[in-house]
Amino acid sequence: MTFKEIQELIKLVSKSKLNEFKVKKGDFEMTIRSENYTKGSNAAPIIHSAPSIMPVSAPAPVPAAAPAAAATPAAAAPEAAAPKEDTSKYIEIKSPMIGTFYRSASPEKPVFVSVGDKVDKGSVVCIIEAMKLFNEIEAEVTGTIVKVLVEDSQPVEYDQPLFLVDPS
Amino acid sequence: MIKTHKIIGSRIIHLAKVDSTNKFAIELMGEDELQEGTVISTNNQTSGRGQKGRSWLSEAGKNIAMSIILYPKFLHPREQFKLSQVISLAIWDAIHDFIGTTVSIKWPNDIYIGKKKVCGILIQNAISSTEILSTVVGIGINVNQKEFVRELSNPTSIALEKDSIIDLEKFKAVLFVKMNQYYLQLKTRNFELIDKAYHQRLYQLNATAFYQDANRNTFTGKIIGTTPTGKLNIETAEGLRTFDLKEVSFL
Repeated sequence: MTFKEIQELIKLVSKSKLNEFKVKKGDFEMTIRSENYTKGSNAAPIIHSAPSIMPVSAPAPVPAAAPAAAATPAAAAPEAAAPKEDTSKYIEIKSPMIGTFYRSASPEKPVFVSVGDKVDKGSVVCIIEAMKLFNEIEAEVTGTIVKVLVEDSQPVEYDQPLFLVDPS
Repeated sequence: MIKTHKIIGSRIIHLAKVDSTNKFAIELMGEDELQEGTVISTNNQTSGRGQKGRSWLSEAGKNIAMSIILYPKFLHPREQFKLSQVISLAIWDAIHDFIGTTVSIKWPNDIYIGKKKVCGILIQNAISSTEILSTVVGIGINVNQKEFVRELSNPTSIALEKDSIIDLEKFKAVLFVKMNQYYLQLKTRNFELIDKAYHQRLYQLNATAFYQDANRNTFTGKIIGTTPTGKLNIETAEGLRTFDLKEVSFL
């Protein structure tokens, strides 16, 4: 089952008056219960169907580390060499909290954004970790990343600029 | 039975087996907003995540793993430690109901029975500069597992400590009641009470113990509390020291 199908199912069950709903497909098995569910109130219909590809049990693709590691230094180099230009037209994405700055979701994952990437309002640009809480930081502007101002895994202060974005 | 207003557990999506409930929840959220309080649960999580990739080993069918989807837009990102506090408090209360006195919250948000870890929490937020847009609270509780692979953390389970098997459904029902109570406290911004409750339950509060700082220096000190943003205050011979996560470890 795909996540789209699961989402559709949840929507359908929510709209219905069902208190419990079970679905079984291959070794994927899911039960949805609503607020009104009480044990044994109404037996849930179980839907069996042919097995298909199940996304959730798929092992995490670990060996994706190489491109991520390569992306960071490569992105930084041409920036430094670039001629000075007027940065006043650029918008800063600032840190909303004190914490540790991470450019990717985990060490083996690719970075969220690099220089030259387009970002939209709502695109995740980095993670700030504070107190064991992992916060995905979303861009509030649309534009192109022109500079990454903080290195991966570095501590950041409240309001510290993290990225420069060219909104044009 | 009187129907109480509940957010957390208003809809439960239970999976027979899943790699990680947090991962499933985040992928499921996708573009659509799911109903607040939706819980993804399983008794068979095959690759649960701890802090920065540390794995949490679990025997099938014996433990609880769940992820709760919340939209705490009433919190400023600076206030996110409060969310971590109420989740810890709710779990503390539920476990305490089942086994009694020796439960504590090890800063920042592990639950301990005696000197052993029984529960871990992993919170993943999506935030803008002014509000917390969405949160996935991942919780792993050792309930009926009695044997553990030797590892760094010192694991235990409720059943081991109580010396009897726990009904997982019953435990979850209690947990949801507690979570809704505390989440309501958070919504009404009753931070003073939350702080007080958290401190009362803090592991090694006011007890002299050994700690190690980021420079690997061992020192004795007394935990006297946390700062509003959640840093740990330890009173030492050289005066008060304040630590962020990973800047101090418990020996």
